[in-house]
Amino acid sequence: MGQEQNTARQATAILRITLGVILIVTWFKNLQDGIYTADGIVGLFNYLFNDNGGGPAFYRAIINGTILQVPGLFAVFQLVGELLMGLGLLVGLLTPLAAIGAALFFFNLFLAYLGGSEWIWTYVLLTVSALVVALAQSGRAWGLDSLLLQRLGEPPRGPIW
Amino acid sequence: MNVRAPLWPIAIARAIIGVLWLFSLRWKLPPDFMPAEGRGLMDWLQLEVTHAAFPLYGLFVEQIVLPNFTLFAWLIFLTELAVGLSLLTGAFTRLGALLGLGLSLNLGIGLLEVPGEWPWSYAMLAMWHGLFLVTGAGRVWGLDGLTSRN
Repeated sequence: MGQEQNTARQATAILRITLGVILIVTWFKNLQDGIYTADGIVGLFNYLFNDNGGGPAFYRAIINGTILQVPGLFAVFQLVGELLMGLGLLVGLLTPLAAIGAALFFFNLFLAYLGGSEWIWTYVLLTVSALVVALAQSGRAWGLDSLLLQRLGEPPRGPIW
Repeated sequence: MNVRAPLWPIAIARAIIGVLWLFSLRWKLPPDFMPAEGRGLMDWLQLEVTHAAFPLYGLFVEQIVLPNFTLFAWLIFLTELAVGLSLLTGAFTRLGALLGLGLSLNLGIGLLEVPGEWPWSYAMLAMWHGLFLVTGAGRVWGLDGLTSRN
């Protein structure tokens, strides 16, 4: 099993880098399209809720009661959060944290697009990929987490690298 | 220091992607390979011709696949069924993963320019099958594990 476990970490590292690239490419496109503004966030959810899915009723209620009450603040959170997750995954820094954040983000997208015309399995694939990257601590192969591990040893408070 | 990755998360991903393939069969069920509503296999093949990213591929679908639709529909249906069952149960996983890799690449090439499609989906799908192939993912929580122990 040892050889397979090494191969698995290297294979999940490729998955991690791909997720990082996807997040950063999408971040740039969203930035150009003005998604990370109050109007952009409201417009996105209007599109989702009226024309393309919008997810189950409880999800709409949560979004209406939280994000859409402070879209400007959420836009900044999203702008910074998506970029940090993308960079973290790309370079393999604090990978479990970045990947768990990404998994929550992708699961949110899964709920948002549920019931629409998009191929919903895309968001299943993304969520599962991010979870596996987190559980495999894949920044320890071809990532900065391997340097943290060499210098600091195992993290003292949970697997954050 | 833990330098090796656990294999069980990959086993869970394998089963989920097996379900993905089985779930995708519902819109290409024989004998007519059409769902009760929405697009069926024939519609998707026609989209691949109309929005071909690679002219040669579009020509192949138009000249070879569509005139022999029933033959290719059965081939696609049975291959996806085999891949789905293989990945779900972890039996003959490397073979299932290889077939799944071929199917994923075919989908990615065929649907690259079809409006509304996101090419990264198929890149991710192909990558996962490559991962199952190199890790022998059926050996953990799969039937391949039973046969290798016996």
